[in-house]
Amino acid sequence: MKPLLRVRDLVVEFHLDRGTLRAVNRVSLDVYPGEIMAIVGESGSGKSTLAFALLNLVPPPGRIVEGQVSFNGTDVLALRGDALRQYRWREVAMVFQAAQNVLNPVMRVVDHFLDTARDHGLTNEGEVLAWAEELLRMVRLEPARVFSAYPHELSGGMRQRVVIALSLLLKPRMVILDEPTTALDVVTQAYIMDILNEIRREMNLTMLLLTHDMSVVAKIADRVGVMYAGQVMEIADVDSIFYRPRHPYTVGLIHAAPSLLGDLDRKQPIPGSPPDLINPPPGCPFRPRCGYASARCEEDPGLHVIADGHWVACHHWEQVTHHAPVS
Amino acid sequence: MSTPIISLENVSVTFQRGVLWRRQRVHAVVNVSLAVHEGEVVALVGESGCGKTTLGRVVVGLQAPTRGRVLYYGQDVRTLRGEAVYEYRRSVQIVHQDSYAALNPVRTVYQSLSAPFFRYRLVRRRAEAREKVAELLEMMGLTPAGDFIDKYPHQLSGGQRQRVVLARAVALRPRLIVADEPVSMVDVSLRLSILDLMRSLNERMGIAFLYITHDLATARYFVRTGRIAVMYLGQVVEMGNLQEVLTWPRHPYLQALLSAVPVPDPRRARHMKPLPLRSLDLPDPTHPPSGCRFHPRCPYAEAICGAEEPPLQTVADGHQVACHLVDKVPEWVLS
Repeated sequence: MKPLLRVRDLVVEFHLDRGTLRAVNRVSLDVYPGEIMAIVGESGSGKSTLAFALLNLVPPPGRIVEGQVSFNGTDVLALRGDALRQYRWREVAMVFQAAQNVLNPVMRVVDHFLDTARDHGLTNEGEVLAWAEELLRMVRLEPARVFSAYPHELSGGMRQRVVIALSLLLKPRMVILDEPTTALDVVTQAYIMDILNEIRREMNLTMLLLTHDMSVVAKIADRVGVMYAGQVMEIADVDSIFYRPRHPYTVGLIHAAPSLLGDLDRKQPIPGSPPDLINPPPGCPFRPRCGYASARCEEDPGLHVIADGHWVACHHWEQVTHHAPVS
Repeated sequence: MSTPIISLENVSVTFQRGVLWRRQRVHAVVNVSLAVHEGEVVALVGESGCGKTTLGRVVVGLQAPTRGRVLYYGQDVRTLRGEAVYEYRRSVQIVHQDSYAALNPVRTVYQSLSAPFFRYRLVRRRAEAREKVAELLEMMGLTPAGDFIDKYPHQLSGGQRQRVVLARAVALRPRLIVADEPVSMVDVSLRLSILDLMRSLNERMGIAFLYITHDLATARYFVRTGRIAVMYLGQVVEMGNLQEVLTWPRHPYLQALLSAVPVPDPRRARHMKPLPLRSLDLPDPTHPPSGCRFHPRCPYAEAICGAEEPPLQTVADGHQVACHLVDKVPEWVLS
């Protein structure tokens, strides 16, 4: 199958007073039509910056320094003006982090839908409203009640569902969701994940989901990319990531995720803390925290294929077992 | 069982909001009784808006209850005078969620951590204070202490900052620390290390913890053999030994909550089905439902549930549930 989104050697840098911060460092990945791909990483791993770069929307002082992003064969980074506007939201929509707060507080919900449609050249109000109603029902909201409401009259979970419906208004082919459930209650979170899965099937949508939470990944993702310090450490299908991880950082993340089930004694934090991205250590960025590290790790391992669809950036992947060695 | 350090007796906290002619009352905490004993670890769990943070503030004396009493070693804290007030404040400390906001940004670690020693006249000279602070930092795993003592908060990582905040709470050898979401802003790879540190403080120094969180999985990791109290809209709906309560939850709310918690295991996650609720969204806290506050969302609710408030009743040794239908609710086991 041909990927819908293809990213190659993408580099995003922020020029700060203290030096140059490489937030996204030679990231390559493919997203296939109809799948839910999760990018998992901690704060500072570069996943949000990556999402902005995919929309060619990196905020200054950030800059895309090199690399390619192509969507359905189109070179995204070369798009300008109207073509870029059409790409954003019509082709690829984004649900930002803390999306409950992106709604305009003095606009009723219905006007958010109408405004967006008008802005993108849809003038048939009746059609737009009919579709908006259908979308709201899809996210289990009652259009009659929600349309006339102002954002503050809705709960956080309801606002989040409004934003998801809004992102689908222009029938995009792909939606990028940045931490879509993080601020929500557990019950609402589970519900929204089920809704996303349903919508994906009904609309044949492709989703790129950014999260720090391995439990969310386990619940919803088909494939997973693990990011650390701006780099992709491992890419594989979700079962391989959880049951046959080959990067020590992936293993560490699994062990560091608390769970309601299973043996507590196998849970442990990853020692040390993430590197300073302005002065990163040479070679593998995980080396200072890694139990497998050797002199070789001062050379950049690069992302390489180890099995069909399974990519790892580690010199020692063959030795890596599911049981993290203590360093 | 040992003496309770703190016991809350029928505590309620009501906030008023809005202007004079349109006053609204928010019942943040309603009739909660809870005790924390010496050396004990208790989790206080609930979703946002359930009143768990307000209850934590009541325990440390930052919020006065509207009704009910707070007892410190059996004595009403409102009647404490002189030295006894100091003793209570020193012995019951709090750690907040946001370590960045908790530390003064223009003070070094030394300045922040030495303040309580001077305040309680435990040291006289600067050299003595530095030694005490260094000792404290080493105890918190910030080694060597020399690398951290003269740093400003912004020069530390989130995990290191939270260790400094814990150090400040520990400085005066408290008996109880109320930890309000201490790891929710810490990087996921480091969360367990902060919880491990808290556990070692409990084991080595006998400090009791009231761990306030929305996250049942971290509560399980931290509390182990301790107790858990689950809150919903201001009330405790289920309480008991954590292992028993999480394995055989009896309250329909807790069953629904547990069935919705995602697990980091894809095969299990695919088979987990959240229990259906009659309504997804929380009711308005200014107009809480009558009777059992969960009844409009509860799939099992009967007439009595809307009419009468269910009391906490004991269903097994130390396991209490506030549900009229506790004998009728189908068994649900976490697996």
